[in-house]
Amino acid sequence: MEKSTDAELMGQVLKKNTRAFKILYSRYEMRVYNFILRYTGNKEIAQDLLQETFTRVWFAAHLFNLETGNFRGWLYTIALNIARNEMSRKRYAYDYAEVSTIAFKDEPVNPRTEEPDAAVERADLQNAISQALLKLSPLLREIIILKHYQQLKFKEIAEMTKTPEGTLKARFHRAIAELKELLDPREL
Amino acid sequence: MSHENKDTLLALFYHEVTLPEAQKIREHLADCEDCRKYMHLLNQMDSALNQWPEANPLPDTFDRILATIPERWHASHVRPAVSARPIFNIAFAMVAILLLIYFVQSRMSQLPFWPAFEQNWLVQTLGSYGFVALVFFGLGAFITLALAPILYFDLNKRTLHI
Ligand SMILES: [Zn+2]
Repeated sequence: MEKSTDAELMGQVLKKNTRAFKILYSRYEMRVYNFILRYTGNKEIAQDLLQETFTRVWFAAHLFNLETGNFRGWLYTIALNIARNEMSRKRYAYDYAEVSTIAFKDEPVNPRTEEPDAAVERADLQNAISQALLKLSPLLREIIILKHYQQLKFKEIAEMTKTPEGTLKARFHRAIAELKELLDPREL
Repeated sequence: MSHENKDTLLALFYHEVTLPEAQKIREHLADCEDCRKYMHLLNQMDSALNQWPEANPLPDTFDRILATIPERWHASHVRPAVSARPIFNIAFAMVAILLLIYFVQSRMSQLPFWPAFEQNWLVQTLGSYGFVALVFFGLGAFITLALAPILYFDLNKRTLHI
């Protein structure tokens, strides 16, 4: 079953096969988790929403088209809707920059392979990137995450978000320009 | 050659152009400072974004997901799988009942009191097979009703299993 396609596994999930569900989960957990983590900038929320995404996959399996469906696109659409929904709630309507300062404090650095200065610099840079991303408006952040980190094609993102490719590319240019502004003082 | 727009450069950067198209854009890049600058910016931002590494979710996440499933089972709208098995089961049971009726009737007609019994109005009306069927289903219904409280009523939980 490990070598089955995503669609074949979804056929099994439809029959309430939890083994198939687990294989699908392991294929996509990292992608979905990091997608939501970069979108929300918060590990606890990312953890919750990862669970929510896959719970929804289980219960909405009958809505997936086994013949023509693209599972990856379908899964990202679910995760994106959940992430958008979460971020639009009132309780997160404060300055994202405040949230993101906590982002990398708990990441361990390897003392043997890295000079202390280099480690600090690396953590600073990570922090700067995450803060800059979180300062972008949600639609600009979204396109950077889907395109750069998740490596989806513009065509796929267009289908998922029901947005013309031209609009997405325009957003990408704007996001890049804003990121450049936000990161420039650090002379990357 | 015309000045390339930023969308084309973006498509080139993410390998979303055909080979001949890529060739054409590269030729243009060779003698266009502006486009080269934009490609450089894309490169710069790409390596900056790569500085944010991936993180891992909690190792027991899948078990947590499974744990939430039974509670939400009734909230889902799952279509039952269509199967021919129930039809075969019913057909098999019906054949078995008909064979049983046939067998009982053939045995009853050998009993010494059968010729007198045959004159009864009920047997006259229903025919011998019909009469056996009536006795058979009557007994079945009686037993079911008699056992109903035991079958459906769980004494420990005091709830009906319907
Ligand atoms: Zn040019």
